[in-house]
Amino acid sequence: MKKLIDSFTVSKILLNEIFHNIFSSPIFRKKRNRYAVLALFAAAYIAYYILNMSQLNQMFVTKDQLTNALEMNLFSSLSNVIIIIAGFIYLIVTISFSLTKKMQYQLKILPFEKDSVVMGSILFKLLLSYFSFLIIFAIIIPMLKLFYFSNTLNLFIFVYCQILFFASITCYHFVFHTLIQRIRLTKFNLNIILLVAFLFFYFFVFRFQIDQKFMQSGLAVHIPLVGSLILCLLVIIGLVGYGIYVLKPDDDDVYLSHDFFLWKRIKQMNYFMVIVLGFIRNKLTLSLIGIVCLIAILSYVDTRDMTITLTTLLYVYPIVSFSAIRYFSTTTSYRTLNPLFRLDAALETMTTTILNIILHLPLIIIVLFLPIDEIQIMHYGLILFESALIMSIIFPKHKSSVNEFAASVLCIVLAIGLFLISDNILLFGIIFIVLIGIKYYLLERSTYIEAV
Amino acid sequence: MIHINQLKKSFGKNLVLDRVSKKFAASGIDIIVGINGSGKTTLLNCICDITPFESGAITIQDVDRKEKTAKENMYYIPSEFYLPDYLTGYEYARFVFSRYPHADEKTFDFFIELYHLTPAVHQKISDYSYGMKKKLQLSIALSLNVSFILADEVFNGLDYESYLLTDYIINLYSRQVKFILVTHNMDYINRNPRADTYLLDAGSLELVTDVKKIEEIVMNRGDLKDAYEKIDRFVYRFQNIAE
Repeated sequence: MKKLIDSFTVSKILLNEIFHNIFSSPIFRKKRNRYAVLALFAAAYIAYYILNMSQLNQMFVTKDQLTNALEMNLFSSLSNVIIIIAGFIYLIVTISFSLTKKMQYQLKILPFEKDSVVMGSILFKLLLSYFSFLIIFAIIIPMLKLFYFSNTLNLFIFVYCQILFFASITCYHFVFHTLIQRIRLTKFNLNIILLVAFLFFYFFVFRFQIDQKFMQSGLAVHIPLVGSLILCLLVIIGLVGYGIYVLKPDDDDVYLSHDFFLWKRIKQMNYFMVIVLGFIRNKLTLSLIGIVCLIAILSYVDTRDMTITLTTLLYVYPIVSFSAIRYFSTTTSYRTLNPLFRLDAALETMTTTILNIILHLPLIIIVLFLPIDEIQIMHYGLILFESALIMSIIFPKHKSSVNEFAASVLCIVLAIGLFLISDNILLFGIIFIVLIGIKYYLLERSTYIEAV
Repeated sequence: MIHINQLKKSFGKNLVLDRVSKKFAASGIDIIVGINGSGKTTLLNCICDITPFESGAITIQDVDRKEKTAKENMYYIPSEFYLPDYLTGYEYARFVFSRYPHADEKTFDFFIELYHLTPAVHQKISDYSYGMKKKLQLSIALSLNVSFILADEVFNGLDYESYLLTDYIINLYSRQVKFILVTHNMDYINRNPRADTYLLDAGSLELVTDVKKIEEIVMNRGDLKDAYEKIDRFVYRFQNIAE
């Protein structure tokens, strides 16, 4: 019991770190107000879901048009989408979340019950993942336009989706963390490689087979079926959760976060190299490049078609831009001395912009020299890099354990918005220059703030 | 020569440097002492153009501190390590050398060996201990052939052997280079009677003619006497309760 209380305390400390600014405001200081806002948010969320699932849908499909097989197919697709989203969220949280040194120090010296720090941080990551899921789920709800269910069944499906998310995340953690650590397969990030491979095949192969099986099953989507599935998922969560607790490794990697890998020593050093090395030695950059390469290889293995492989590479390559989310934290340790070394914001802006272009050379070459007409993806990659770098200045990782996560979410939202309007070269040019301008302004301002 | 003229710097309402004027000669050792928060680090930061200030001027060899030639003439070893964790010590040294025209790599190699850093110089700086980071910065500073080396708490974290070694090196180099050192290390101050020691207090910099009187000055000017009495009362009260 003490362990459980301590685990909750640890997750609460971590949550306080993220929501510090919000909970410090006078409105949220009272517990009652916090619960009231939470209840209001939950009610609004469910109302939003119901509205989307019932009222709008009637415009697209009438009840007569629906067959059991079609309903089952839609239900199966929804389940698959949630399993895949949960996988991607788990992947992002695993790669991007690590405790700040300050937080590691605090948690390690305080007298908590054994294992409660590990369990607390798992709980915290789960809450963080669920929060992201709610955002993504809210975005996909309007896309689920083909359902025509009663309000009660819709509510059951809503609960089912939430439980399925928790079950998926629990299973991912059990397989790709607990079990893999047990059999010592964590070297070279093998767990991440296996997870990416699983998600790839699930996305491109398994889910269609599953949909087909469900369609042919002859079952219908109704309350008893969804209710039974919810019960089954709860049992799975309980069993797998117990498995995670029992099989957890003696020393988890909560404290271990080697942010940089030294894989090549450089002799000729200058400012550009200092910036470049900060990127290419970063664990996040290496992980993202690894994921992109892995997906390209898997795509080739699956299709044996170079054009499809390059097109896949083109679509996934922009995720490498997310490595810029660590830029400010990586350089913060030494940037105070920049004025002494005559390094100013203009030089830094120019250097990082050149790096952006170099980093996207594979994308630029594919778009410009191969018969793949996807110039918008190239725009997207370049814009995403600048957005991520800007976010890294606004939400520096070294200030909070979850700043990077918050920055990633905001960056995705910003980049999607910019992507949608950057379909012509002129507009892209304007956005790109504006982003560079913002970057310069923030770098200039941060130099002054850090110095004072 | 470093010339500070009417330097004024405050953080909000807290006036840290109140029209400080001082000329640091081209060689020798100058030591700055003062209580925490008196502005010692701020003074060094102002000289090195790291911190902006409200009014006054600072020139290095008659050139404004912001100019390239001024910066090429000085190096700063801050008390906090502003080092890129992901570079090796050697790579960082090479980067600093790229910013200074008269850097000498052979001198660097010599000091690295002297400080027993040779095996570590190709490791990531993030793997260095506190003392190793200090030794790396000292080795870089001594290899740059600059006229001024400013250092904030440079002896902190050094083992006793390295401390004595550094004291010896600074003494020897101070014939040609000016060292401006901020330190609380009374042992070092007492060992270097030839160095000029300044007390930074209430925004102004004063030369201390007799270093043995520093403790006395701190006792008289600060709240130390009151604090001692407070501690005594607090401890005795607890003892009484326990009894």
